[in-house]
Amino acid sequence: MTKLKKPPVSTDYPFGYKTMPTTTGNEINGLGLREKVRPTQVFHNTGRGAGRKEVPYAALDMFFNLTNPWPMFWENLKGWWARRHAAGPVTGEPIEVEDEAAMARTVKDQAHALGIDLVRITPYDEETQMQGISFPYKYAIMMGHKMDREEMLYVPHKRGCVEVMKTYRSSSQQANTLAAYIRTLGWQAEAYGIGEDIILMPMAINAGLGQLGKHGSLISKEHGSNFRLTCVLTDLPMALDAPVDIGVDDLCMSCQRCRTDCPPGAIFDEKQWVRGVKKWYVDFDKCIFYFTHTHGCAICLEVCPWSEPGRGALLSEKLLAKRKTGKAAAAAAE
Amino acid sequence: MARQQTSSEKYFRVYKATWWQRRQRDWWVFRYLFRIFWLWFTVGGKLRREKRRAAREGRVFYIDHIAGGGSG
Repeated sequence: MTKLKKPPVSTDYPFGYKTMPTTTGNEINGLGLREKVRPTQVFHNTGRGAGRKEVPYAALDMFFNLTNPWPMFWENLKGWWARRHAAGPVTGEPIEVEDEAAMARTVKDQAHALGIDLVRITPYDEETQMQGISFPYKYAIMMGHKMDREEMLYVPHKRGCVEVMKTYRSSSQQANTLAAYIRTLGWQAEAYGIGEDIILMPMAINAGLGQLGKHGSLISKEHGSNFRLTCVLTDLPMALDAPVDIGVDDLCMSCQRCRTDCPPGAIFDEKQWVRGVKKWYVDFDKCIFYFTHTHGCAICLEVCPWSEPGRGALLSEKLLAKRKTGKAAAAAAE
Repeated sequence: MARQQTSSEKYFRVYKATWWQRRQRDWWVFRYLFRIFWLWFTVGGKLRREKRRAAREGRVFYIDHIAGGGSG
């Protein structure tokens, strides 16, 4: 059982709104909404359209960014500096792709050679993106970048949060390099990571990087939740990957670890209706103040049983076998 | 509907990248990041001090005024 290296910070926040934003974060996120609609910005925002000041929780977002300790802020600045290489000119005529599976393998090999742990490909899905936002590409190469587990065990304290920012910075650089490689094949490609108005998780689930866990984050068989996402959008034709079922729901239904360890108690015990889909959801209004107070928290990611190194594959195997046996027993009883 | 670019896409991403465009982009990004750094150093310094002071005194520091329409 995972033990964090330091006890969590108290939930007595020395900051807050005198007048809360007129709509709650959960309302903006579409909690309880059974109709399918695209999401809207609520917190982090880079200023597309309406701009930063119009985002309901802009003050809290600004407070979060400006109160981050120096090592985090420095990593963030370096990450932004690296982002200027996210796009660039295409060199030469597009190569003809006859075998899409071989092309997918080539791109994945290239990503692995860059040190990217998880790489899978899915169609770019506009419906998962925020209202009014679109990207002119057909495919999304979804990537998972592992974080240093020993450092992450210091969450929600500074040391763990600095590791998150370091991963964001290095993953941006890796994604930039992969996009640049695709551009040398004559196909446009752009890297997207932290600080962009792109929603990565639904496409990562579609690509089969993992499944949504009770803590509202992705769980992969390889690294549990101890990783961060980036993606490269491109038109280069490649064979697509399918979503996976590693048994996350089977465990999350009964496991209480992230719920009991979440200091503000933001994790629901049951799936919720969110913009037309019943899924795991974290109470934004409870989570966001602790998230801001601790500069990123991430307790739920690290205490998750799936995040213990080397445990995911075995856990998945056991859960799927148990489900199969349960189904067989139920069928026999009928 | 025409595609709307984010400010970061507009200024961070250069698709033709001549020497001049790259220089312009780098200069823009540098100035942008310097502004953020300056904000973190000045306004951020004040906010961090206020947060620490409020924690010490056991009161709440209100953030409504930051970024203008936060309480909208």
